[in-house]
Amino acid sequence: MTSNEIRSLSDLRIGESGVIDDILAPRSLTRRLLEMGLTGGTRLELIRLAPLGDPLEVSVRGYRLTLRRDEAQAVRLRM
Amino acid sequence: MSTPTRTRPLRVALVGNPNCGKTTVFNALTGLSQKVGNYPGVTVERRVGVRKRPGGEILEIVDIPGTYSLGIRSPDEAVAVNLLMGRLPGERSPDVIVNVVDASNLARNLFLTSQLLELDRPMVVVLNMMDVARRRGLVPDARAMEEALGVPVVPLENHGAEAMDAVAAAVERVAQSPPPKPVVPVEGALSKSLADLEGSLRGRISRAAALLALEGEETLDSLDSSRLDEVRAALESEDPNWWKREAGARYRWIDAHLPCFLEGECKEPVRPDSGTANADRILLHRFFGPLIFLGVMAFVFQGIFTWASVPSDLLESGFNALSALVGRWIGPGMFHDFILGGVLSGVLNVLVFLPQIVILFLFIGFLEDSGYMARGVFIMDRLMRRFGLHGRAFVPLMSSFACAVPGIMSTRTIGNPVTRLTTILVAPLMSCSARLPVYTLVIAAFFGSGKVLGVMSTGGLVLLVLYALGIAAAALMSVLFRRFLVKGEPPALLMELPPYRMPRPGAVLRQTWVQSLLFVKKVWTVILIVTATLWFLQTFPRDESRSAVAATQIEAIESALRDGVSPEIRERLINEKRDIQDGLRSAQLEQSFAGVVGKTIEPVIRPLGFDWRIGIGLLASFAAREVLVSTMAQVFAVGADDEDVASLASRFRSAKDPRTGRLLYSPLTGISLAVFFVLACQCMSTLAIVRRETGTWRWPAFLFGYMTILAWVGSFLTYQLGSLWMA
Repeated sequence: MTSNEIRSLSDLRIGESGVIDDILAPRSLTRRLLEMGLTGGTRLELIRLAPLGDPLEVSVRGYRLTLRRDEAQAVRLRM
Repeated sequence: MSTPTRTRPLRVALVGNPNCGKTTVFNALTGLSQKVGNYPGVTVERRVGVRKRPGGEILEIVDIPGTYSLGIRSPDEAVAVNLLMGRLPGERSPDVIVNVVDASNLARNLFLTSQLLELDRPMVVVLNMMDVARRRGLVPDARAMEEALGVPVVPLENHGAEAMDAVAAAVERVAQSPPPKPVVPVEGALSKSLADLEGSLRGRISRAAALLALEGEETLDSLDSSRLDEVRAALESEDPNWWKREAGARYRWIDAHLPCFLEGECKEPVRPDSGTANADRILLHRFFGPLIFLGVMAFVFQGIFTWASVPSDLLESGFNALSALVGRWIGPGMFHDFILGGVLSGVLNVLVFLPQIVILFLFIGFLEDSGYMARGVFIMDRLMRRFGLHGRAFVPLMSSFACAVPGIMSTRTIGNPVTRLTTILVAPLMSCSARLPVYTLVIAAFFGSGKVLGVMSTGGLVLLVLYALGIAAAALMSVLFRRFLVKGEPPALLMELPPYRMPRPGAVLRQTWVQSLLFVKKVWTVILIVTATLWFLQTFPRDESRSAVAATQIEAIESALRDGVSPEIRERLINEKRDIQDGLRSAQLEQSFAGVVGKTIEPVIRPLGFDWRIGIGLLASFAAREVLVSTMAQVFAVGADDEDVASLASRFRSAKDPRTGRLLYSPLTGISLAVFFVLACQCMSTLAIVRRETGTWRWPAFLFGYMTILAWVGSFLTYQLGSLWMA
């Protein structure tokens, strides 16, 4: 059901999900995201935003991860 | 066949993700034997305990800080990785690794597991949180995991003695077997580079060490650095994304094996943790979430502020009783005064913080253990980041409104050293409860008397402004520090929201106890020395002739009282005696070293509207801010029995310069004094705890320095601009 549309995790709406296409961040941040399980082909779903709109809570590999908007910006998803 | 007895304990390292329940396992394995401290030079907690085996062997178990991987990005991770590799000075390398795995979160936990398998050390995997996994429809197959990983996998149904014995038995078994082999294959350029390294080395190294070296995080002792740089450069040029591929390969391996690791069908949980999800719908609601969180914080704050006062008052009465006893035992004289004013007073100054520390750490313990703290961080992060801080800074800063000492101690929950230091440097600007007596005095003296709190009068408004000033100063300094002083990459959030669970009283109590003990151990010397010094400065030199004169006068009054007099005369005589004693104390204070200091700094503080009397107060209140009030009382010969602030306040307001006859202080002085106390670091205990938390005297010195300058400038502007405005 994945289209070819690529969006940033930070552009998702609540409840939307996508599959990780790539991570465009500095090396250490990218490495940490990968270690937390955000590898290519992994499905992410946006669960909610914090009251001030930042950070985000996503569901990934069966657990809940929070990350800031600018960290999420780097995560590119195929919808 | 007898089991070979070891000459020294078997060293076991307990490793696992944050939130995997490793602490529970550690506590169950080591019981009351655990010792807590810090690794030298860093504020990373060091927890070691022992377990005696029936055969007489001893397992020495080290609880490694929780980590998601063998990367080195924080002091915690540096300690973890270096200890595991046997590179932490003073720490024996582990003989066996026990990897605690959260069974309800298998995929992510196995990432670390796959890395640990490459350390070339005997290893045991412990499946924890089986109940949580089962609730979500996940049933791990320990046997399948054993086969695939090549190490024993011990599922824990509970943390009872039998289960822990099974773990210990597995540890002993593997200690005598060859270590496991890596399970995740390496390919391509990375594989070639690893082979190159191996060829160039004088000895063997583990794949984990080789990978860390290639990532640039470590050097290798058995290889000279230029060769390592060569191999690294070759790898980077041939495959710049090799490290991405390496992480991806691990998860590919995990994804491929997960179906057979889990009995039943799929690798995605059948049921999400509905309890947690439902709770979060309310607790992380866009509107109610913050409200609830602020409510919880208000509760915590109230606890520290109000409840701590009960044991604090008890401590003080106990101290007074003890002083009276000691006084009777020693008998009046210099030694008596020293023991009471220097030693016992110092001890009290240390112990008086314990109720606040205990209450704060109990609260923090419960909030962390239940999983709610992570939600708080999630809610506050954006706001904190505005000022260069982190969501985790909120609780320490808010606690500092009650008292900065436990607040600063609680910054250890902030992993990143940069944000942690910044938080520590601005926490004392949060107007703590000890400033309140000072504010109260100023407000009572110049803004009408009566109850200050709960009355939205001028007094109430002044109070609000003072608190706001503290917050504004903290916000400003935080931004400035992050920009110019405490530079460093802002850490990523990347925080897991763990499932909610019932907090475990045992673990929380134990942690609170440990922190309280560490506090006392580390600060009592400083506080005792400073207290004794300040006592000395305020007591010497003594004017023996003046006290002799006063003693004669008092003797005359007492003999008159003994002869028997009418009630009115009796009253008058008693008051007179008290006045003589107060006057004596005031005069002696004025000509003591403290008085000299006060008069010496008077030129510096005069532009702030202060005089030498306040100068003495500033010196004395370094021990504790509230001491200003009692010191001013002593200067103005208002008796110590006069608990009524109003009486001191009126003396303060109406005090006249003996030479000119004009009023000493104006409302502007009062405000200036209050502003000074908002911004100044008048607290030796704060400095002592900052020393302990940062490991050096550099930062407490800086803290004292910048806050003193800030306070002086703030008071100066207040007084001078205020004078201009009034003129």
